Amino acid sequence: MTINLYMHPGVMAVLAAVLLFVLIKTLVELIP
Amino acid sequence: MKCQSIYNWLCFLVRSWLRRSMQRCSGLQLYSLSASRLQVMKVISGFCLLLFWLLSLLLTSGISSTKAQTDYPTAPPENTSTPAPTSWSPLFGTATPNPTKDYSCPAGTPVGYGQVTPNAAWNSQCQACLPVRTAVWPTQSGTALPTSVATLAPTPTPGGVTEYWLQEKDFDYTTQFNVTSRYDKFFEYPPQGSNGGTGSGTLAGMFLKIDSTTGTNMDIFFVSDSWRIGNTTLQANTTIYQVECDWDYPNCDQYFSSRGIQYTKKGNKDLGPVPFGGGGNRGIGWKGWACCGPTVQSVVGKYGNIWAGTPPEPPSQSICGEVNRGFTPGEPGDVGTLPSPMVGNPTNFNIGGWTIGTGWISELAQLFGIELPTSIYVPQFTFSFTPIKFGMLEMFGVEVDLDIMAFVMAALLAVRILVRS
Repeated sequence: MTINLYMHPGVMAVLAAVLLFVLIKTLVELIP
Repeated sequence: MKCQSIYNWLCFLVRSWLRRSMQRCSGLQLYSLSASRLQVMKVISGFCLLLFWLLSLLLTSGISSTKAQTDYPTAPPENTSTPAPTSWSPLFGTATPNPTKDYSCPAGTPVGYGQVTPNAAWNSQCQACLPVRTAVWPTQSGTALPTSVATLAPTPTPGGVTEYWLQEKDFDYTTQFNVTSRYDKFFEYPPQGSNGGTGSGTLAGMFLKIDSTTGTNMDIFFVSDSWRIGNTTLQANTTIYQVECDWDYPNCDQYFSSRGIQYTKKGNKDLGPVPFGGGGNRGIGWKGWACCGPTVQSVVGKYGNIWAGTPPEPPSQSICGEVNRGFTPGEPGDVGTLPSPMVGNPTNFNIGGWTIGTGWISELAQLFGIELPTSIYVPQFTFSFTPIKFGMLEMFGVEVDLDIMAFVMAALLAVRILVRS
């Protein structure tokens, strides 16, 4: 069984940016 | 300073988002629970680090090139090849492809120029076809505004009736055949069913070229004028126009001299126009064959037509030939075109497809009289990650790039999630 997952490059880029943003913000919050 | 303020603002956003999330989860104020807040931070940062690590693992597995450790390593050859581009194919196979539009300029002024106002799309596509306007600047005693004088392109005068080559030295028919021994093949030109003949008494004919491109082992090829009309052969093997000995075949001279045939020792021979008096309608052909070589490989015959008279005028399909006024509801072509989504090369990941043996468990169960299968099959699932792009939506002369739209919408959604959680 084949499950097609269509990925739009632009949307993927936005998701990656959001992930990066959350990561950086979390790290910033951790700095006392 | 500005960066610092944006940075502070972003910090505030994330902080408030986290705070509200925590309030919703626990119903407590986060200010007084710094320890639990720190705990949440640790969990989130750990999750992000895990994601980052997985991403890096994925990247390195994709680009890693493991080299064996030897005492005398050699430098690997530099890979100078460019990566193959993603080939896109339409998502819906039955979609009608957009016809290729012709934007070539007409010989003179486009029809309707100066009488109707062209629309924006026509203007942008056919600007180069418009007559050049040269502005005449006013002299000291002239008017205040410059007047523009249009210089129109001259209308081409129709030429006289001249002999016309359908495609001069560009052969419009190519036939290739492979031969291993004596072989003959009959070609027909024009093809059956087409009314390509000439009138009675009109000088016409065909030109012919024999290419033995892969014929290093080709020995002999010759052509005869087996003209025919319809299915009736008028002349058969009466005149040998050209004979070639492509390779220095030792028996070539003997073969042809014994038959009184003139030949040349060249690889390619352009026979030039071969005139004949035609009275038929179709089915003019020639006959050629290769022989006497054990491993003759390939023979290419190219042939075209000589046409007497004026060439037929192809109907112009150019958009720029007539000024397009703009959107009219009756014309479906002006409404727009629907986007045609395209998908790229998929990357497949297979999960499953395993056959797990039950082993001693089934044997143990058999002792208690329970029949268990000796193996369990997990069906295979294929996750096909396929890049997709949506294409352009064109309506009323306005083109909307749906890919950019998707990008912007995703960005807006991300901002909204972050801001309003």
